[in-house]
Amino acid sequence: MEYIEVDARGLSCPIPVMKTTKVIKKEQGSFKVLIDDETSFENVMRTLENFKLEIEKTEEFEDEDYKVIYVIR
Amino acid sequence: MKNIFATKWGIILAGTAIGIIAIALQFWGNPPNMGFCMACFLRDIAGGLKLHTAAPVQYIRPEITGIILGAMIIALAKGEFKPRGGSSPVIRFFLGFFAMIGALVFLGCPWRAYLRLAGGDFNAITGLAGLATGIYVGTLLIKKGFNLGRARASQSRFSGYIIPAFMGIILLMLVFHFSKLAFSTKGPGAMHAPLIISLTGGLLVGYFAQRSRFCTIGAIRDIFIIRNYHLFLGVAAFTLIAFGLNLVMGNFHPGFENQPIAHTDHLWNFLGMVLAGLAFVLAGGCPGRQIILAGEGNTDSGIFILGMLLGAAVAHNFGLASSPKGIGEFGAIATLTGIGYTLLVGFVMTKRMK
Repeated sequence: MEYIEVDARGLSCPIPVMKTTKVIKKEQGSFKVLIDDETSFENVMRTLENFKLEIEKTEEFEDEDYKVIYVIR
Repeated sequence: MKNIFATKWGIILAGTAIGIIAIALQFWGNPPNMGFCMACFLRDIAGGLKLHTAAPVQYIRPEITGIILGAMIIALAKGEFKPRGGSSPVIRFFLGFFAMIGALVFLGCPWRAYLRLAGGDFNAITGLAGLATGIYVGTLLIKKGFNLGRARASQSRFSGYIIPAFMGIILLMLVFHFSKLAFSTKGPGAMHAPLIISLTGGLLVGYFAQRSRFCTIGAIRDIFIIRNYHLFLGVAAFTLIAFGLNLVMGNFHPGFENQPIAHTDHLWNFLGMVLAGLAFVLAGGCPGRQIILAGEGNTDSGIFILGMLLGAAVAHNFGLASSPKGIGEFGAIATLTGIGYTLLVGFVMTKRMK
């Protein structure tokens, strides 16, 4: 499955949410958001809820210390 | 393990707790309408360390040390202590420097602006209008792609502990009443709650603010940029409980004139906070949030705080800070310089990183 990648790692508030919102509004298809900060993770999850999007799964990459949220559209 | 403070009611609870603690600190001796003020308190710490010698504002405020250490402790416990940095640190240092100057022209950081409002100080309305304006301009830049670059995990976790340790050592100096520190005998620096109460208040706020991601700048920013009221709910709860307690305790005095540690120069109350709003929003958060992030090991936020300390020192050494009589001799030119710097940063760092 093709996912548009939103790399929000290491970015200051509110940029992870901005980048995610931009993809939601301006692109078609499924996407994945890469996040390495718990606060950004919570903010992006809240954003996805607000847009009523379906989260396919969340993966955790322990060693590199980041998570990926996969969203199906 | 879900974070209950990250929910709607969680942040309202956290904001309420922080508001109660702020009023409690005022009750126990902190200056009026100053249960918490990150700018004033960092300025007082700068004074205590003799980085400046303005006699009425020299005292190592335990609240700041409590907040950063409280945040560090809970972050460690929850696995959220992540030493990281490298996102334009020098730019951030001077964003902190000028944010402090803007706040000292208004005589308060956003936390204090809300507390002043809750105390009936209408000059806070002017200040908050300025803050919102600065934030708004910042959001225009953010929407266009402003970005200070990615932070990376620190080479060694050691880096993340340095700023909290620095604050810890300063706290120890206070606890042992180190003779080389300065302690105001008059003025706001002499108005403080007992050390153990201030420290406990700070630690508790560190916990509530870290868990809930409380941010007085994000509260306004998110309304403009994504029409989201989540952070605003926390700030509203904070302000409303402070207002209610002030009413009940007879500390609500509405008006512009003769407000405690405030002045009525409307133009510079406004512009000082325009600068503060711009600088904080480009840096990603209010000073309270920067302190919390520094407690989590974010060295960029740590550097921002060091910039604030230097800004406070320069402000009082060079007559940039205001007083109840009005703005300082060079307050106007310093504010305009700061606005110039932040706008320059805003333009230069927009679209540079994708």
